[in-house]
Amino acid sequence: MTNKLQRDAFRRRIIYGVTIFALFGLSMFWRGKLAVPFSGQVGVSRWFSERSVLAQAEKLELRELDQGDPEIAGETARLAFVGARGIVVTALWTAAIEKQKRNEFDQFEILARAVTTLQPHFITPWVFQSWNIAYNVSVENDKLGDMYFYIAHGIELLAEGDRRNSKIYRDPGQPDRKVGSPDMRYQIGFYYQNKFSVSDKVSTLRSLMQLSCIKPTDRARSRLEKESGRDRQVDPVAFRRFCDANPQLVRRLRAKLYCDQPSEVVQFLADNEKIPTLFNVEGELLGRSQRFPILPDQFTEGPNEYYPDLPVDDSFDGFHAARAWFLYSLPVIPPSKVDRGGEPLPWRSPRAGEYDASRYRMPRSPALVIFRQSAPRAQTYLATRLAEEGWFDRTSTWEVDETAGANNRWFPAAATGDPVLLKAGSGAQREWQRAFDMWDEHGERNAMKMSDARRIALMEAASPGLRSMPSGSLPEVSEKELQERGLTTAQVEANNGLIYFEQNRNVSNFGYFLETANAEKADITVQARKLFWEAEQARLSGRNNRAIDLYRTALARWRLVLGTYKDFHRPGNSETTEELTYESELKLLSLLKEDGAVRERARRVTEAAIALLGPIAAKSADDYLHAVAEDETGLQIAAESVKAVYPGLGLPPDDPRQKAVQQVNATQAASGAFGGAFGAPEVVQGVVTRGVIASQYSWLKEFKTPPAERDAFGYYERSAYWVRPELKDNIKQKIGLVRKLPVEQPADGEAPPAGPPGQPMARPAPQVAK
Amino acid sequence: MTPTLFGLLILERDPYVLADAAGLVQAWFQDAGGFAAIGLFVYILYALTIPSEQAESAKSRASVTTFMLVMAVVSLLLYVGYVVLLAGGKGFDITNFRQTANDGSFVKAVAPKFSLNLQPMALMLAGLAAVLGIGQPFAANVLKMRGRRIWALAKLGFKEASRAKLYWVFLLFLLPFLFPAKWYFLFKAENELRSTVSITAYAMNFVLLLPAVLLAAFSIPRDIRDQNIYTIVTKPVERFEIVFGRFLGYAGLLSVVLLLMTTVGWLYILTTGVSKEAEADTYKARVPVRGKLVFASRKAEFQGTNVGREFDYRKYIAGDPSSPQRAVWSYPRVPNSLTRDRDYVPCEFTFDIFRMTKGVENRGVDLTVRVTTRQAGQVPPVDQKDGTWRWADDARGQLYAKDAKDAVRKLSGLGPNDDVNAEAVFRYAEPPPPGQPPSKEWAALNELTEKYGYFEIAGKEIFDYHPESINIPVGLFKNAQQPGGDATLPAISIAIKCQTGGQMLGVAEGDLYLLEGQRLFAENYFKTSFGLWCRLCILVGIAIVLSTYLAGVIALLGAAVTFFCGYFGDHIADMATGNSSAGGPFRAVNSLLKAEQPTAQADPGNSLAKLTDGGDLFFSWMVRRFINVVPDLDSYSWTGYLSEGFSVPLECLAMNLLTTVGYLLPWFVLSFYLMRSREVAA
Repeated sequence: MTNKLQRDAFRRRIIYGVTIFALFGLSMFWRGKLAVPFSGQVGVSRWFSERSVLAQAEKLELRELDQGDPEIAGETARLAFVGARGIVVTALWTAAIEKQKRNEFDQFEILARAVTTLQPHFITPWVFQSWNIAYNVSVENDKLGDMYFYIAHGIELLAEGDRRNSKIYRDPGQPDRKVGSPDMRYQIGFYYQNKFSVSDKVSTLRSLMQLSCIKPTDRARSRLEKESGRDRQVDPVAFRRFCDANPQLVRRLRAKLYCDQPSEVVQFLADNEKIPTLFNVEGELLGRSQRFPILPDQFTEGPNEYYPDLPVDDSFDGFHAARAWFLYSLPVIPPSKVDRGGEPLPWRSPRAGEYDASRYRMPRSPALVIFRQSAPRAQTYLATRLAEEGWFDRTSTWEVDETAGANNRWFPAAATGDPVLLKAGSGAQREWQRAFDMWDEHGERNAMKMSDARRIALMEAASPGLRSMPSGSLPEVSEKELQERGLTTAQVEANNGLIYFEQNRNVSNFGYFLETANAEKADITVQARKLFWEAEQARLSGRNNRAIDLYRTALARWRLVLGTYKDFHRPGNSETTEELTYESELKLLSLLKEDGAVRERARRVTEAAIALLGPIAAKSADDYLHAVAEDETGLQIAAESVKAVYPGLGLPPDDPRQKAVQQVNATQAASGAFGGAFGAPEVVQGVVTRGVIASQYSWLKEFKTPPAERDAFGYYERSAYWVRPELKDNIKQKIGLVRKLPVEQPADGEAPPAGPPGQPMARPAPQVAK
Repeated sequence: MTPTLFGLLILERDPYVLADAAGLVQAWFQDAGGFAAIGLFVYILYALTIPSEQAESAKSRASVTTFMLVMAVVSLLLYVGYVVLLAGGKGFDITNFRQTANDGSFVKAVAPKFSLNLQPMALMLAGLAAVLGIGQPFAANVLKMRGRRIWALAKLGFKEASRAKLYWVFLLFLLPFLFPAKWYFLFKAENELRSTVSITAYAMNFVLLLPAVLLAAFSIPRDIRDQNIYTIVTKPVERFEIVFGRFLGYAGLLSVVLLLMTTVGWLYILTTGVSKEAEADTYKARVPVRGKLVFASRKAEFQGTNVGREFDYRKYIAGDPSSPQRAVWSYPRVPNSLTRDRDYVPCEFTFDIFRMTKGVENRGVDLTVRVTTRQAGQVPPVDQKDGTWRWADDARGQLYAKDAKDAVRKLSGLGPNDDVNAEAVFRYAEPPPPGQPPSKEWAALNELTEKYGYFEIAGKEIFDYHPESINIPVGLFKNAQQPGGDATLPAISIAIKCQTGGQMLGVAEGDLYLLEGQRLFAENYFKTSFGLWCRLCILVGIAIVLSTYLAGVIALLGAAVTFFCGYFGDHIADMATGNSSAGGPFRAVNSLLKAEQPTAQADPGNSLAKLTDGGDLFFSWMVRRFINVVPDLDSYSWTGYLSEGFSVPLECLAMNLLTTVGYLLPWFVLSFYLMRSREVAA
């Protein structure tokens, strides 16, 4: 330090160094990387500590780690684009759509994933692009393995979006919760439910999903085949083992996908060897995020549901996955409103500010009342699916070669011994019971059900002395304004609660689902359903007499179900039950039209008509046959009820159905006095039953209960009908039995008569198809 | 030979081949000549108007020769002649006239053909004269150039770039290999190689082009700013040598880097391996023989149906057993390679299915493929309910049917009166494996096809966008090489019929091809890089040329905009032809201000609408001029070929080189004048 300039320079360096170090040190406190000394004790220190960048970021949940699972590569890319991320994302989005148009799906998917990677906390691209892949892209693939691949990828993309956006919510004293987007969770459930239940290719897609749950080693072709000379043939032992482990899958492959030979089943497995799955090629579980079907993490807010580490078997399907995701979406939506007594109150969707936004999110769609019932709805689908595929209860079995001929038996060795029976792990009845429990619980929790006492209490609270629905809703204004109007909050809540109760039930069709589950879980319904199933199998395999017997028995039992579960028969706005009833009746009718005795009876009627009206009556032979068959249908169902169903019910003596039974018994006893002069006892019983019904109880053919007076339109009371007359034509049209008449064009170019504004035109009368 | 399988290449345009060279040269003279003419006239006017008091050096930088003046006059006269022809409607270019589709659907772009009509010839000759005129001083300068000096300057450029430590940037290219995409994306097994190739190509483009333009745009301006240029211009070097030497130096360095990157990419694929499915699908280089697609039906004017897909690349034929509609690929001649040392020729195809009904679960649609030579001409059925095309020569058709049945009877040992289904027997005849003799059925089929030139496969099931193939007996191709038959017909016709009712089959020219053989994937991988090399040369060339006059940043922007516009060639072409769905900018502004939908029809009587339409017409004209300046980058892209497993033809690469030279030449001429105009380089 020989001169002043050098000393000054050295001093400056020291000052700059110390300043830099001090500022850096201070910044560490300010950023929150170092704790402010005494922040727990001294007020000023605490004040500074609370205002550090880290503390504020944590409080406002702005940290990347608070938003969901972080992703290093995506975050790096986002930072690398500095301010140009928006431009890049827009360009990528446009390029992705262009690739999609050109069916270059491999590149489309890369670009779509790049879009979501660059803006992981923007929910819409996740939902849109996953839907795009699972729906628009997948349907461009005729090969269902490819279609399945893209459905799986759409679902996986959305599941990844959920992971990226599920932040931890910490509630002191409570376990941490993952709060995410209800829309994403709901959509995942919806994709599972929709794609594996109502799509056109549902049989194959369901089967592929089951393959996803089987270890590749267990479904490998090499495992199911063995050497046979130069060729390879299906190994019966290994195949039997596979069938035992996967009864639902193999049954569907045979019944719906026409795999008539074991080799065709093995070929199906081989064709779809490489699909999205739970396992790697060695049969070990993949990482959680790589598995398909992908399931939500285990959560504690709801009932025990499927989660990634829970083993799945042949009974697992898309509805299980959908149900799990739907339930997973419920904890993140605002809870139902409760009144001052803590009881759930029927209410509208909450508005912003009416719920804790840090814990809950409002879904964008569907309406909250429908959103909440998605899980029991999935459960209903599951139970329906099992019944449709022939798995009714725990006794249900499938005889593999029941309808097989000599050439297409899967197990020829069993032809002479015991038939091969397969049994599924679950049945519709058990699932219907669970569906009922879920609907019931949903109704209780969300005020979709209401006891009479609760209703009266609400009416009283709404307006003392009120005995019906309130005439209109009351305004939801401040306490002060209510006082000025002479109202109280409790009064408004009770009044509007009653109105929302009706609205919510109508919007969601809750009554139908609840009553359906209630009826379907019953033994008598399961028995009837089984009979319908067997009857349909007999009809499809051409065993008409057997089918007639089964349909007759099934319909007689079904009549009992409808009588027992009155709300199931006509629940709310739904006509589904009546449609099913009438469709089955029509099937019996069409079978009877082929029956020799019925045709003989129709021939005699036609001859009588020709004798009476002349040769022109011959043109109506088909109509006579139809009328005779229709009469015979009603008669046979009624007779079966009187013979086989009503006697076992222990009905009171004054019940009209019991009277019919007694009348039949009495007449039969009288005929018995003549010994065997009228034929064998069962023949006599049949004749007597039909005679009694035709002469005294003909209402049994069309009504559940004796009809009362006719109304102004000539109809009896609707609830008495088996199937309402006005509905029959609609159903015939729906199944294509009749068609609408074309609208007649007015002559001379006149305009057709205009209907009243806003009203549909009257429909022309339907015509029976020839 | 071993048949290879499956590939789908969307060919919205055919690559340039040697046969297109004449047409391209003519088009080049027309387009480049137009710019040359403007440059020539402007230059002459400028030179003639230099004040006498200007320094001698300024005058020497703008000298005009007699040759230039003569050429300018010749060019002017020819342009006047062209305008007269245009006004008189004479000598129209019929050769290159193409009618646009009535329904506005896709029309495949084709290379220009050499036309002898008066208008295009006048335009070409006018351009030629202008090019000669403006190019004369340039050519004189080029003749003075010496390789030794250019080599020294190139080395200098190479060293400058190396010293800038630019190669560190290129290490970014390793990122896609260090963090392969398959870690982040789940590809379908058969798409694995496609995706790797695409991502590698993106990375190479990005990592090479960006540094290239930065390097080239700033070098000369920096030399001028730092006055380093004086160390060069004070030496006995030609002005253009400075530009060209720099271009060669940078292009050389980037070529080395490109070669290294390509090698790394190839080694990555080689060492990491590809899945079995991808290997079968894309790890190869097929050599296809492509035909020309025409549509045929009972109605002669049938051109295929537009089903309304947004991507209207394909046209559709109706599916039904009674449908007379056919998609026919015709081959005017048969390459000898198709008949040499083989028993069959694979024919591969991939189509789109547009479903009008749901169809059957997990079932595709059925096709009938009929292959005929000109000796087995086919005509559409007359009966409305008949969907089967029949032989033009009925007697020959009957003879064929009889011989086919006889052949099958002979194979089966049946008597002459036994009924046989020849189609069913031949449907399942398989060609022999390599090196083995053919089966009796195949030999009979081969003989039959050689005799009659007719082969049909019915009930071929295909799925949407899933490639399928059939094997055509080689006898049919031998028949096609024989003389005889209807000379107006193509040598080979492959007619596709969709048998499944209620479905439409979408086809495009690139969807079906005959497979001549296959080459190595590695060879194809390196060939593909040639396209990128051409792009690099173009970008470096533009940037260096612009930097001879403009400041570094401006040159960078100019080069980047000019070059990257090439990636939006389709959009610019739409603007140039007025095909943009939203109209031109004037109409768009009008619609925006009036809050109208872009698709709203303009009121033809509205004066404002007329004004905007006029403005848009002028804009289109301007864009048509601009489009000639924009490089045609699409023609240098071979990534699709590589990723789909198609061999890149060598002649196409030669055409790449030709078009690159053709594109850069006017830029170099411009650079010559710009360098000459700068005092620093005088």
